[in-house]
Amino acid sequence: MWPICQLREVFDNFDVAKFANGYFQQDLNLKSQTSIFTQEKMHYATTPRLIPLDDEEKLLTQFIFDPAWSFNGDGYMHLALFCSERYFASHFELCSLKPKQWILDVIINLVVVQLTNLERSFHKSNHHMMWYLPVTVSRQILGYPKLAEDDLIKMCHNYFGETNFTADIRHCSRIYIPTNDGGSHWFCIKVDMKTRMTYIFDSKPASRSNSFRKQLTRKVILGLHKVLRLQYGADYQQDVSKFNIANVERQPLQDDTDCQQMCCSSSNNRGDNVEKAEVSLFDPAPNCYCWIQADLKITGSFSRNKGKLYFTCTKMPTMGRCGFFSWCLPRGSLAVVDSTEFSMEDEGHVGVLQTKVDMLEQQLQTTKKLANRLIWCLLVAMVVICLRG
Amino acid sequence: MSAEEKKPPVGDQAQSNQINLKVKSQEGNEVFFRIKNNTQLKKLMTAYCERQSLDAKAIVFLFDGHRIKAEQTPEQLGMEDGDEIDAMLHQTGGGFGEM
Repeated sequence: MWPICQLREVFDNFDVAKFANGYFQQDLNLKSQTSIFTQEKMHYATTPRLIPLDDEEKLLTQFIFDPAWSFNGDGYMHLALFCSERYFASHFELCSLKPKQWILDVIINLVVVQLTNLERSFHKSNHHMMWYLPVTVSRQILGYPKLAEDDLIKMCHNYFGETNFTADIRHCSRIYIPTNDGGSHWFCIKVDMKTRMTYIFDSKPASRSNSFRKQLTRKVILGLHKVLRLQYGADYQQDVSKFNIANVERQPLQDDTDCQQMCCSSSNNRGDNVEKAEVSLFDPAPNCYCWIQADLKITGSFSRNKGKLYFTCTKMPTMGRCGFFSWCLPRGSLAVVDSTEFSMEDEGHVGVLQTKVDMLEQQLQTTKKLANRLIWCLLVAMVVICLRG
Repeated sequence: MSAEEKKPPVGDQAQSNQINLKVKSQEGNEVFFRIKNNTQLKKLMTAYCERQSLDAKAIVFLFDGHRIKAEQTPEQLGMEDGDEIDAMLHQTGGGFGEM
């Protein structure tokens, strides 16, 4: 048992998204014991992205999931862990991070606050380019169908501007808006100001619900347009409500009840690998459709795109290759529409090679582990045979 | 009692340390409260939830878009007479069909 003040300190520096990831994976491990098929699938899905929890996070995990901490009485009043002065979640609300639970908007807002803070830390002048809006924005836009002037002013005052979640519109490149669909599903809207497109990150697309979510998206975007016009006036020149709406292809899909995790992570990094901080030049290899880490290859000398790097499924064509394909681009480059225009610079090659080396090292380690296990099995088998003999 | 319901503001406010607050729900229903400046808003929250037959756990109170802590007072938040508080039920989501 730990004193509550200590837990509060922990939460001040706590990464909710990472935590959700970490716990999600524990959940997967639990699930995987039940079915061999999912075990295999999950193993590949989770291994490359496993982020071990550090001590503080373990402490918090125990705090949330240890039944000894489930207080009697009203869960709202007595204990709240603070993420910032304005946004916080109570013990009861944090419990929605448990596996198989539907997540609450409060938790998504915490992730939004953290992403905004992270983004601000990269841009000293407070001109951050990636804007993350809390759930409340889309909720209020959808909640007030008429969007009277008063509502708009209130929203501008509450969520926009440098003291809140946004900055200078002229520097804005993307806006992320987590949205709820009918109280049962989360998806994330991404407005790309550079390519003039609106994307829907939806971890559970289906033909029937897609059109409805598109309608919702259109409404949200229209509302956003009004708010931005009011907030920024002449500086706001692009009309976001005229952007085309598209579903994101090749997005990670959810297994059953984890759209919150997907929603958080699509605004975090999964859907947009290119826009994370320049920690290293390239992202780790993506997973292909069969949930295996894709292999990095170089195009042959006869092709038109000679000497370029791409990711593809590791399996042989006869062994059920899945047809995954993606160019390997340096971080920060926008998604290349016409891939023939892209050429790798020298600086890029170093990064690519580094990525390849990392991948090979990882493979080597996996192989070593396998070999070790095999040796153990052999030893055990020999001992058994010797004893019987 | 500080968190008693009242009808929309009546003429003179003798006690200067009391303010009128409006709690607005998502559906647009408004409930008025008169509360002392230095009373914890917990009282208002509990009274509202009881009146509307809501679970206190399932609701979030927002003032200027910021969530209100139960132990905060109107004074700390700089609330003025006639200010509006939004009461929002939790939104949740996960997938469909299950649970």
